[in-house]
Amino acid sequence: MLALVAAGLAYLAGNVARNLEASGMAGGFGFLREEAGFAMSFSLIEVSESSTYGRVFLAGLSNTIFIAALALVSATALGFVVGFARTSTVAPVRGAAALFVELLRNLPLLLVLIFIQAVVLRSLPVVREAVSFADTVYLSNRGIYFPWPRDDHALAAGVAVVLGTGFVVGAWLLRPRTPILSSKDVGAALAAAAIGSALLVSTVAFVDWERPALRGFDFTGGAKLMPELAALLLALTLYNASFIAELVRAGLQSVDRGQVEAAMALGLRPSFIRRRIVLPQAMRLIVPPLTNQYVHLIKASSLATVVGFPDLVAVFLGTALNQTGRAVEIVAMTAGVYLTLCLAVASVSAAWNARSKLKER
Amino acid sequence: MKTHVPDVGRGHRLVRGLGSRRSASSLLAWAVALVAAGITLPDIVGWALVDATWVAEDRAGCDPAGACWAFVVNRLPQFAFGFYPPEERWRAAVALAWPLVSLAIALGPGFRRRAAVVAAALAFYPPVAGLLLLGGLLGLPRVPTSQWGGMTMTVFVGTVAFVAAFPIGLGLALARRSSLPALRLLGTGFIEIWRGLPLIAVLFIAVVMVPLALPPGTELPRLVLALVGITLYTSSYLAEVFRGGLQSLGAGQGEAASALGFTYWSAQRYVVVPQALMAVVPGILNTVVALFKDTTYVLVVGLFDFLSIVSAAVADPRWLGLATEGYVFVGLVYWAFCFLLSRVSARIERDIGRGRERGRSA
Repeated sequence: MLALVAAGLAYLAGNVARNLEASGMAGGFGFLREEAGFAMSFSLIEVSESSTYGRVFLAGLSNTIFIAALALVSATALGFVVGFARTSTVAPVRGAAALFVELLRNLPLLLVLIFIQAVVLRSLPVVREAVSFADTVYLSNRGIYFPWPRDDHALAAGVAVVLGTGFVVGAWLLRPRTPILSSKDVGAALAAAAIGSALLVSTVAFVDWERPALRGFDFTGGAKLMPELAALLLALTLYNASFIAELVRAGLQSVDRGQVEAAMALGLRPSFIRRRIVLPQAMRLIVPPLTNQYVHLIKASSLATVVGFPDLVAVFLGTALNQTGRAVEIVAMTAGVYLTLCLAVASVSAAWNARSKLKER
Repeated sequence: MKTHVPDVGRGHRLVRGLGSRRSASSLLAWAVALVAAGITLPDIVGWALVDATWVAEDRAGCDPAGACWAFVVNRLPQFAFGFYPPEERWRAAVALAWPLVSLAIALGPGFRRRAAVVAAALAFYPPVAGLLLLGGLLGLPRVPTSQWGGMTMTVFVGTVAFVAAFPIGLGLALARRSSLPALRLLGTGFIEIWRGLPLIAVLFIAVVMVPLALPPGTELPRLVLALVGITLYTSSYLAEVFRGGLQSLGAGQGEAASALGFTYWSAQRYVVVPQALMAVVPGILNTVVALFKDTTYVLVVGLFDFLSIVSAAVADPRWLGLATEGYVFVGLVYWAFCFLLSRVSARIERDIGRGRERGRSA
């Protein structure tokens, strides 16, 4: 039987080799150094018509990671909120959460995406009548415009924001973990919070922000969130949040009733019980399927192709493959990227699992 | 219908015990919910039903205050059968109804040898429905695959991919659990590669690579290429579902069978696989739901499935600006099917769980 499988594979591989030879294409990855000749509508690294295919690959890869990372964070946040709402004591909250979950997870993701792009975003006003929030952020059917630091301030602002956020997150991690306060914890947490917020406030106050302004038919200055990116982000967030919410609900409901009763007997507050007694135990059940959902999300980010956002699949497996015809090399590289990303998520989850395993003595 | 107890389980009851139920925040939530419903519901009902137009020749004949369902009504045959020639539509209707009827029989009331009937109906579907749609024999005019489309395309692609993926997935699952290391490696590698790739990438790859892997000069329609891609993708997902079933069974069943003198294949055929399949019926149904939703991706290789034919119709100048109506209709159809099937799957899962508990206590 193995021989049969091997013979079949050898036959197919032989055909591939013969077909490639017939089309006169030399193999190898040399094409990565050739000029690609097309520009990208969005990219985190510099790309122009004279960039090489290698650079296009990197730009597509960084776009894929960018959109997937954004969607991953927002879907997780929304999913946990909805998951908690699903177990709320308040009936309307529970009902709204159930409506959200049942509506979204029974629709194809592609339909959600196309609906957001063709109906929701298109119903936004045209640029000239853009909705403005305090003349700073503008919402229109061509994208969301917001202020951005002027060139020489961008780097400093970025560093300040990262540091400030780091301090605030640190303060949150250092916050008192027990209902009984110890002065040392409180001091450290307060200090970190103060430094972090000072950094963030001074970034807003002292950096030279360039505001978008309407000139002619479009806004100039500031930065813009493309509608394609916004639609994709929104669709990935909503759709995956509905699945994550179900995982969270199942996890929360799996925690033994006795745990909560014991905590109540100790006189702990309900919100404290939910966050520090129920959730940590539920996480053991939530994380493994959550990992699968993350893998699904990363793969689904390739729907970018449909809305015209230049992710890895769109620019590399799509455009670059069409132009060069290097099927085997490009397919192998793309597959390698997705397998690596999925493995990375899986190994983070495995490490977390090992750390949070019940320690039995 | 029996009274429905919200399925919120132990976690809910215990959390409910935490706060008093008539707290201020609870009252506030009720107030917000009632006001929100009071504002949005009349608008939605007014748009979708009261002010809606059901019969009209074009956009101009529709009341602009409400939904223009006349667009959907007018285009319904196209949404169902694509560009299939009108006088031959009965063929598309048979291809469309066949899997749905099979599914209804599979999930409806039981009768003797039901599983065999359903299995036969599904196994014969790909060749028979394919030839019926294609025609060119028995006096049926030939209809090229480029004219297939709409719901027929969605159901055909989904069913053929499922039927083809089922045996492949079973083989992969057995290979992954084989005692031969080479076979195990092959099975695992195949499953992980196709599962790790996005379906869109798989479709692109199928369209480019399958022609390369065939003898030079062979030309296949895009539908077949897309089917190959979706089948490979689905088979690796089904393989993991089947593997779950095989693992849940434990080694004892296979060992007992071989102790009784069964060969490997007959032990799998009569003892292991039937039990493993029964254990994972919910997982199989969930895969069917996912597959049905994923068939929408075929629009990236230029096939006109249900979603993409509506997308195309929305751009018709006679019915311009009716994207909302079109996509709401598509959403209703997909939603009804997926919701129904996921409910059935959850019910079967509960029944299996109950059966297990009974078996344990007996």
